[in-house]
Amino acid sequence: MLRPLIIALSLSAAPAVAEEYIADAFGLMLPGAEPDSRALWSGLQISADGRETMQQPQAPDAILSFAGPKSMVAGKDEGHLVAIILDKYGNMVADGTEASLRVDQDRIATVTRAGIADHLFLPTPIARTLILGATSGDRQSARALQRVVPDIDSIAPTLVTPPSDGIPYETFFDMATGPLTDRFGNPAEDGTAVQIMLDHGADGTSQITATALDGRAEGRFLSRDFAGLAPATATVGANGSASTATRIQTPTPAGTPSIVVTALPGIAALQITLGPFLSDEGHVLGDGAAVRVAVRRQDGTSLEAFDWARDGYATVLLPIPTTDDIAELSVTSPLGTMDLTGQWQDGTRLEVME
Amino acid sequence: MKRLIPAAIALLFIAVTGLVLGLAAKTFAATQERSITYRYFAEALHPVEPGEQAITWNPPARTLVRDFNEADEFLVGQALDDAWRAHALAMSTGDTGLLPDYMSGVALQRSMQAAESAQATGAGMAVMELAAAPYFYHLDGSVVQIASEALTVRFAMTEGALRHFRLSRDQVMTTLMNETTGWRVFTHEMSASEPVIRSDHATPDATPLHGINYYPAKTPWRDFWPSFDAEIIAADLDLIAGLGGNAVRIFLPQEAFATERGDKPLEDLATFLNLSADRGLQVVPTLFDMKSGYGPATWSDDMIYLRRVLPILAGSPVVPFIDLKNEPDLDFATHGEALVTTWAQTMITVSDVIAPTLDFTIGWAAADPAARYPHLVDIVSYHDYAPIEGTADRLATVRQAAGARPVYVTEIGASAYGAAASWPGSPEGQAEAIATRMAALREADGVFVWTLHDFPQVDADAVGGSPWVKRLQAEYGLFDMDGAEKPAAAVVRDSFAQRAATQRGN
Repeated sequence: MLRPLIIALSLSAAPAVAEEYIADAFGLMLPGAEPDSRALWSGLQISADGRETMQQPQAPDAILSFAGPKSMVAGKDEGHLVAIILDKYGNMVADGTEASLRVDQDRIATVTRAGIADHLFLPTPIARTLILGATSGDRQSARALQRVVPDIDSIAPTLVTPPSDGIPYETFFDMATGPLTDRFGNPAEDGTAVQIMLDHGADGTSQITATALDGRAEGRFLSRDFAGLAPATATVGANGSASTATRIQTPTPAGTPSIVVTALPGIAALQITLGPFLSDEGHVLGDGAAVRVAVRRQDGTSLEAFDWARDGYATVLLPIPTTDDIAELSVTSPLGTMDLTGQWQDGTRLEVME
Repeated sequence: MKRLIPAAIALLFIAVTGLVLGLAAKTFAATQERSITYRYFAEALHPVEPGEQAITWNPPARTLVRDFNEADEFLVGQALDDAWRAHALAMSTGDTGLLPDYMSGVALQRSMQAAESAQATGAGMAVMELAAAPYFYHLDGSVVQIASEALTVRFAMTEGALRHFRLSRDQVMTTLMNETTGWRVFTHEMSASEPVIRSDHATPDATPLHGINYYPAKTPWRDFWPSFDAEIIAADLDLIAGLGGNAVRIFLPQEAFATERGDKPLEDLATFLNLSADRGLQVVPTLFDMKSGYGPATWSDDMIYLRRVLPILAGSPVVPFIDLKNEPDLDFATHGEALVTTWAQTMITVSDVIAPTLDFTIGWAAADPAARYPHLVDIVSYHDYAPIEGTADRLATVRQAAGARPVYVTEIGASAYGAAASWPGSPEGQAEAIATRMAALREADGVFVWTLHDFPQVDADAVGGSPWVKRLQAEYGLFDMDGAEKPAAAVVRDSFAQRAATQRGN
């Protein structure tokens, strides 16, 4: 009875209410001056005279579950299910609170530390979506979904062999992979990127990025500007297929290109324009096709010049002052190599640029 | 008709005056207008670099399933630092708008409630520094728990006075979520708390000090440390020793010793102490000079500053005590007396954590606050520029309030500036004023004269922009702008000699 009396006297004697401030994790509270719920925040509370009170949390009321990593690789990555368990006031539940964690069909009994229950687990070898969650007391978390994805690193791609008689020039053709499955037989997910590449040797490569659909991938090429053997490969992740021999039929030229020569006396050079380069199917050589012009001069020396075709024509510049100095002229393009010496000697049109 | 003419003239005068005033106002408004056109937001906005975090990291408290690396330390440390600054700001201002940027879930709700109730209860809180260790880390990096020892100050101010003060080392567990904008505090709970009580500073001996407040002549105030020149300073310290002084009072602006300035200012400070020791001079360092605010959200910055300078000062044999702040009472009107004194109490208490052997004073601008707040300090000090006739009475009042604590008058002085006919001052008048003041302060344990030199350039940030005040401030020195002794120097030399003789006699 004496204690309340002393407190009452001290309050009435001093306008300052220093004795009533209580320290908690978020500062100082003054009972009566704010919502009562603050007194229920768990953790240590210290009165002005140093008395310590450990406010204990209540029973589990809300469970937040987190599962990750977001996409687990089948049979490979560890997963981590974490449940943060709070009481009805938002306090972390007491250490040792029992919790049950669900990973697909498995139930794992565990206890909390600092309000958290967690479980590390290995995924099944089957790619699918796992259902995870947690329960504690009479509460359960919302369902968490976690995807198990195929092990792309273990997919060994193959390519379907193209027709043995070759692929016609200037036509679309498809390159397709065989089944794309990982070491557990899980098909590559739709949308998985597959690089398909045709190797043209010194003339470069053709490459497309196809996407897997129903465990396979297919990409479309245009057989233009290159001919002959073009080994093909498919790559998924870091794994490439064996090389598949693919032959592009060589196009047949429709006649020889005409030649227009422009003398450039100012720089002692000749500008030679060749074209159009036409196939027997009526197409002009595609823009960007490599055209190489080879010349043998009267003194026996040789020169080469190079250009990319544009609108069916190619233009090269040769450091030769007069047309008379050219003894032989040939041109190499995807239409093959053509000797234009006769045409050069017979009827080349010469223009002179002053 | 005769009546109409004066009326017309009066109307004309009013019209012309109005026109002139209007034009002047328009011209003035035009000169005040600043308009710059930027093409991109990035040109106009200059992002603020995050400052140093008041946090140190310890190894994980238990085995983690994911490595908590240096990048995690930086990002989570920044999140904690930002969250507690925002919490302190919200409690002191009531504005909770920033809190959702740094807190979420339970912590956000609790921080907002604490901030709102703080407006009614006068409560405040600041986390001064954290010693943290990761306790739990989700494998995919989305949840982390940090176990920390938080040096935390909690206080309550009501009716303009400090009602409650508690500095403690709290054991806290903080859960953070990695959300779309980065880490945010989700829960925060305290499991233990140990009060930090300032160690018992037995009443210090009253070291007899008579010295000079010091800035170099050509690099005063903010230019002192960035332009530190050991040769000039050595020569100036020779001048002080030549006057018979045994002490020098200097100023350590927080900005000059900021972490981004590197170690150079700290090395210069050590050099200054060594140069002083070589000449038998004691050094009274004055911290936090030109501090711009006292908001609890910045107190962790103050802690970082203290952690930088105090170890050097504590390690020197020539530092008799620390002056926490120059003339903080001049900030009472702007920032509130309770906040300023709470800040001072906090800084002196946390300084004890860093350097428990150091004694502290506060350089009050007047005797009155010195007499009202002796309990905050180990040594009482104040400045006396008040009318000379009350000097001895003020000292007696302060000494009585101080009890057994030594009392120093750390600034006295007079300007020699004379606008005309030795008004308002003159070199002779300055000498006479100092002589009279020194005589009246015979019973003080120490006296420091403001200042060694006249200053060709007076820092407007320190004394204000008034040309009149700047002219007065320029000529408080004992040596004029040509380096020649003014009459006051001889007076000071005599007074210092008398004080030294008296001290030897005692």
